[in-house]
Amino acid sequence: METLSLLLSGFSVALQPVNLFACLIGVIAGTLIGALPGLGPSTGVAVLLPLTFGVNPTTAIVMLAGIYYGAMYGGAIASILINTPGDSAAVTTCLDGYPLAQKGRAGAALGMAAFASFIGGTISVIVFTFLAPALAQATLWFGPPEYFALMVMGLSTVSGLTGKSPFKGMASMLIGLALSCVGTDLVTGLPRFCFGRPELYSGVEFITVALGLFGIAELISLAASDAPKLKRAEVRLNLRNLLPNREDWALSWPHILRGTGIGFFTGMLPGAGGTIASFISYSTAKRLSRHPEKFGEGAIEGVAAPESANNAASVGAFVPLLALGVPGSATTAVLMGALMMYNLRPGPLIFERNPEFVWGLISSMYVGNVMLMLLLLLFIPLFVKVLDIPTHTLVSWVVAFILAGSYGLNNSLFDVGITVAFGFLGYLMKRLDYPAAPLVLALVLGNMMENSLRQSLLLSHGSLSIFFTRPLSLVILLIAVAAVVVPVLHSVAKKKPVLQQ
Amino acid sequence: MKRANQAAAFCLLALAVYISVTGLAMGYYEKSAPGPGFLPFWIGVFLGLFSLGILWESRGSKDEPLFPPGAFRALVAITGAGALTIWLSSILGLLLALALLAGFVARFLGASWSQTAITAATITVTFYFLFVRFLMVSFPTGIFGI
Repeated sequence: METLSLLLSGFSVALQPVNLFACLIGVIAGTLIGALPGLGPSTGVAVLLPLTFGVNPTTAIVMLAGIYYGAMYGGAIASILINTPGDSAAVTTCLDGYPLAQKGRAGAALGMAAFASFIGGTISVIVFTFLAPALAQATLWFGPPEYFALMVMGLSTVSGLTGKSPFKGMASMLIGLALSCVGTDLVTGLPRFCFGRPELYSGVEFITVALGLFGIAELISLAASDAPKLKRAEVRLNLRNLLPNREDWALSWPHILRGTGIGFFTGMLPGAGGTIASFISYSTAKRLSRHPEKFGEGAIEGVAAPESANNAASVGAFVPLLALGVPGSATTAVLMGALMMYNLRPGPLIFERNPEFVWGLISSMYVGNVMLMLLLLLFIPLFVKVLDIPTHTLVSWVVAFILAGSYGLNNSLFDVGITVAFGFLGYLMKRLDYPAAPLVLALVLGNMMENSLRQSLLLSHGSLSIFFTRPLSLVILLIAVAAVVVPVLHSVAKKKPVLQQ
Repeated sequence: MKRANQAAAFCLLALAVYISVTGLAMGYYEKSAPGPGFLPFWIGVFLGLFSLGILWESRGSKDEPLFPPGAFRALVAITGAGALTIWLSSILGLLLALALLAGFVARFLGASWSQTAITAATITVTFYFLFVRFLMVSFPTGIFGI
């Protein structure tokens, strides 16, 4: 009952005109960015973060969250129409979406993707409404050892699961941790790795790094790709064409519900996220279908299942972010950085200290999902136009926008230099298969993790046993160790080195 | 990619040694609490171990080129132009430097001269209203006063 009254108070925040406008801008921008091949939600959130400078924190995060789930849907547009996923979570949508478009059913595929995203997103927000506060309540008694263990687990699972090589994932995470050490040590006041540069005394700004790694590096990939312009499937898009027929619904609804469950719980796991959720949902749908042979040749369920899962995953990813203060993916790491920029510290206490913000954000997700579906059904021909933007226009505008945004963060050209440098490094990392997400996650969590470690060791007078004598921290650390050891052993046990596979 | 992977692993190994040694010099332990060098030391140790893992993993992999055709040019053009923008912003101001950057990138990626000019001009106007007027970001100005 208390949850419902808090939710109602949240709606009074979410329905304020300024927040409605921010949500609208967010879902439109997210859908447009998601539709552009190669640019995903993490790039979208990082690149558009500068637009929230000087805005009220709730309004800013409402807009950024809108970009996140808008981009999750936007990915489907390019998948269905040009057989090129807008982001990795939309890869599976290509498998049946494009064949459907070739059969002249692009409208039904886009419509089903919109409805599946809406249903997946809305059911997940309902579960989130009740689960996140309960989880936050249950973790209120966590002490520094439990927090340290939780952050180690978050970092190790993301590093072990993302990318092709666990060694490279871990190396990327450790570079992020090393970067988080840059700046004045809060306990002793000693400058660490500052090389005499006063700009580094306050540490490396994570947004400047994220803009380089996710923004500039992605644009270099886009500029470097010599793929010919893909032919867009010929479609006539009007409201009538976009509405799936009765048979489509009969085939899809069980997969939408199952995909929602899979997506939400996969999204909550660090390192899993929308991509894995959509793959699991698609393969489950195919396995349980009465017509598995139709998958890959234009089965409407093959669009519904992954789309419901990846939107549900984007909501599920907010659970560990808000309830535990531990982001599980690149996009939520960027969102966490944004929250901290606004002096909001995610974690169990945020539900008590900033209820207006939390419930305003949750309510805005309900509003955002409705807004997204209506926009898609009414204006999808306009969203599709984004696929016609020439690469030179897109890259030149976004590069300039990123550098302007990086400067605007602290009015510092030094920050612009960091963004450019990490753009260079980020592209090299992409070529060498080093995942960028663990680096950004470690940079965001590094300081908090070090503080928890130091506090824990102060409590135990320097003894590491504090982590192993408290049952919960022991269990969490064992999971963290498994998340490192299992992928490494798996990699070592293969006859061929991982890089050759 | 074998050589590139090995080169990257050696770079990481060198970085790991630097981080650990610097961490030790900062102070590993103070009284009964970790010092400022405690975490960096262990980061260096683990980074070193994982870079050895990368070296091990890269043995026997194919020696393909690191960059596909045209990729190195794109990397140098975009990041080089970005670096040049920082330098030019003290002379021309950031707004004009960004317009030149966008024009250069557009031209590099195949835009015609007229498209290049339109890109540069529209970016100057849009960024002026968005960043300078609306978001109140004070861009450094140059010899033209903007």
